[in-house]
Amino acid sequence: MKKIFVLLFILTSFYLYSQNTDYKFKADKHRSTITYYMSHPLHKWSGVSKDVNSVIVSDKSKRQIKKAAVLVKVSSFNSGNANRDSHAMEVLEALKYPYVKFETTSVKDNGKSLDVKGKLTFHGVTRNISFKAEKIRHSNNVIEVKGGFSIDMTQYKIKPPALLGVPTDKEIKIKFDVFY
Amino acid sequence: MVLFSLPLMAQGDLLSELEQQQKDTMKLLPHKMLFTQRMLWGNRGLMRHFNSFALTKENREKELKIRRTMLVIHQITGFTTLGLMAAQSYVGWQVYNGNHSLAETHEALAGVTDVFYFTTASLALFAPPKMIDEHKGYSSIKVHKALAIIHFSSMIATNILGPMVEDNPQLKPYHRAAALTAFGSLFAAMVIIKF
Repeated sequence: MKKIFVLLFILTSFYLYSQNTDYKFKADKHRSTITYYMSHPLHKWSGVSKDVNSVIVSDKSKRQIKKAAVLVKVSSFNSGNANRDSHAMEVLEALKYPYVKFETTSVKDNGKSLDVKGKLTFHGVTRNISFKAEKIRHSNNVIEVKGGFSIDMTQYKIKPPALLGVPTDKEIKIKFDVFY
Repeated sequence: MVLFSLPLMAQGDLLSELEQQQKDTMKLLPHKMLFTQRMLWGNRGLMRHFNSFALTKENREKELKIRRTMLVIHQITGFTTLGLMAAQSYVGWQVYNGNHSLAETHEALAGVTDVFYFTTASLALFAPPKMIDEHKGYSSIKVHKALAIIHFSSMIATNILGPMVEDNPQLKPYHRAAALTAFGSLFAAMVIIKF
């Protein structure tokens, strides 16, 4: 009888432990993208990175995302024009600050949506941002997190690049679509 | 798809973990560059003999600033050249139609246009290279470069044919055609280029 209680205790403990244990899930690089959108009085363009390094912390079934972090190389963005991408790396001082980084400070998981607050480090400057994201459940325990936000590049000490003396809009729109 | 998962016995800093997994693979020079750029700024380029232009991250940052300055001046002199070419087209047309009083103006304007044109070209040809290689497929910068080959060749032809016209008037239409090709392709190269 005593052995049965001990066994039950062990099994219950293991069950409770497994229920409360947090797991890390890495982003699927084959499907995840981060895209920026910029505009100049003469035209608009976008650049996409397919080299998204991200990790979330959640329960095993990914019902509750608790934390997330994202790391993207500035050099990984492709706007379809190598001169423009090189200019972007120059303006963003990619040799000195090679990554755009984001880490959550709080995540409210509402099931199908997320309220996210965190710190965005861009051009070596870290600022607090907040945004909403959509959370979509797929088969095989895959979740997709998509959303977007805007930043003012001057707040990150980035001088808007200019063409013919006319600077670009200082707003950069960022959209993400990440699969875990 | 779950690529990686494990129980968190002790949660660390997620961002630091991601950073530790990265390798510093950023190349300082593109694989391909113009031969004029390679001659000056390549791995063994002439400029690499100077300590202040040794191939390091810090020096590449400086080079990119030099490149930007050169390309901004390239834009300004390019537009000036286009304006001079437009004026030259008008003056040339007058001379072509028998108004020989403008012949000297045409010659003088040709000299100034040449100075601006070849300065513009040199600024692009000898600027430090960009950070990355060209992407695959169409891009406005590729069209800009293709058009540059056309207007550069046309400018050479215009300059060769110009002095020959005096002795051989039959060459006039060819001189005019070369000049108009240079003007047209330079105009197109400017329209196509985007930031």
